[in-house]
Amino acid sequence: MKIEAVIVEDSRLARNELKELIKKYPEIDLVGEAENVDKGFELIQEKSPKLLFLDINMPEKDGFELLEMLDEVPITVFTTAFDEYAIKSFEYNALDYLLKPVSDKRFAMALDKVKKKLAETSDEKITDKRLSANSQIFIKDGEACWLVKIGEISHFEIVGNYTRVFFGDKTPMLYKSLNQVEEKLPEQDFFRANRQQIVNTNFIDNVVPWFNGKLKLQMKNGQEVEVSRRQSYIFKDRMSL
Amino acid sequence: MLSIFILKKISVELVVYSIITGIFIGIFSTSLLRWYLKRNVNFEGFDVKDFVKILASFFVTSGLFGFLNFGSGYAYVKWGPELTEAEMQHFENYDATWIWIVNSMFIIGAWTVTYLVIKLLLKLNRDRIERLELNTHLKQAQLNTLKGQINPHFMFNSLNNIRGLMLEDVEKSREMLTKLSEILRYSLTKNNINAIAVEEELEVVDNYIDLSKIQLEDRLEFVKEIGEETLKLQIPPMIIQLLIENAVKHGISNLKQGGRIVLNLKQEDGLLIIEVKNTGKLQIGKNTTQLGLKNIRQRLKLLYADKASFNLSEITGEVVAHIKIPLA
Repeated sequence: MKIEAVIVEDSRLARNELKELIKKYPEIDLVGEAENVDKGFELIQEKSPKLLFLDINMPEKDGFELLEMLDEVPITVFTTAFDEYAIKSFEYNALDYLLKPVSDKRFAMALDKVKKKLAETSDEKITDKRLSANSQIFIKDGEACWLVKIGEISHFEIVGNYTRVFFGDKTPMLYKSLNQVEEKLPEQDFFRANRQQIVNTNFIDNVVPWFNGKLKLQMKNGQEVEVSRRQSYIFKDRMSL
Repeated sequence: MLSIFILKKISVELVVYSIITGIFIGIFSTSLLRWYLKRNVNFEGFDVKDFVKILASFFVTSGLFGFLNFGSGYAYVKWGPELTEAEMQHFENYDATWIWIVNSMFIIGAWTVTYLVIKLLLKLNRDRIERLELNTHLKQAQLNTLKGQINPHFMFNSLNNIRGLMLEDVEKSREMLTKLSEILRYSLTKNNINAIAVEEELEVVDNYIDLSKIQLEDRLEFVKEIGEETLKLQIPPMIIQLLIENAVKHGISNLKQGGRIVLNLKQEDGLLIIEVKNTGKLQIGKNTTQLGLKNIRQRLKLLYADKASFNLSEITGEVVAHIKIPLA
């Protein structure tokens, strides 16, 4: 299995150095490299690689800003000279980082982790523009950052023009509207319960009939979501209730 | 007041009366004195005028104290219970003016001395704390210099770039390793020196620029305009270097297209003028601790008091750092 990878790093020599390390692993297929965030963004949109080597300090926009620009984030390995603090701002640690200069041993360890993660992710290729349950999204709320798999999110809720994301015991804000989010979500897993909320159907524990032909969903985390009347019909239909 | 208690056969009423009025009058007049001293005497820079003020206010307060005491005694004799013989004698003693004058001067004098001693002790303590704080600040400044000198980000990036450079140009890599060692040696050894020749500092700057160029490549252009007369002048080490570092770190390396750094050194009216210009915008606060700039300011202040100046401004798309140092 080939792992398509891209490098986003501003220093040409540092890119060379990284390529030299990658050479020893024929399974990595380097499909492109970029010297700044905007070029990196275009490259990733075009190639949708599985793996991203990302520098943090780059001119004008930093590595985190690149992740924020992406709808779907590839498995990311940060490369940095001395920004441990920036890496540590990740609460939900779904990534690895390499300190430059990188030793062969440390690189091999990082690659092992990447492979393990890729193995967890089924090899389904995304057919349309939608994300899959295994797709990662990047959320930055204030100082804290998370990389979250779509399938781990229990529901989304409208807050003004933005959206609150619920996963585990975390509830960070995503700076996109609920409608924007809905367009990207996999239809088979997510359901628009009402104007304010989208739920992950895998997180539904129980469905209770409510008044006026409406339904109430009891979620696995104890929360209750009321389904609007119109959506209740659709829901019943979909679940063949 | 003391003399009151030496005499015998004095009624309880008179003793209680004397103590109460005594305390009241004492507190009243010394409060006035304290109020006056606090407002009018400069305890920080004590001089003759202050001494005269203390002396004068001491006399006035003594007078007031004596007068009030006399008044209270008078009131007791006039409206109080009938006096015993001993009491009569006691009051008759007080008819002699000098007794109450000496008495009140003694009491107010003792109070004034105590007050001044306490003031002095408090001041000494405050001075000691201030000195300690100043020392801590100095230490902190020295520490900051150390921190500013070896920028880990620069060091690790340089090492990584040299590793990459080895793949294409071994000879240049060897040269870069030497330059990096020279920078490290300079920051480790010149740390405690207060002055260094401009030309020596310029060597470090060149090394730093060369190493930055392997990171930034054609994004960095460096221009030197050095007045011949400045080369032998003595300056505090790492000042030019820190300005150049700032220009690279906060200026050029933040620009996708890169830019230019111009270093200008000249001598004018007994001053050395250091000017570093770089393409870019002046961004204060965003992602910077301004440690480098604070460090430069602090060191100039410590070394030259107010005779040196440092300012940072933005002129037509360029950030300009300007330092004036008086020549020894």
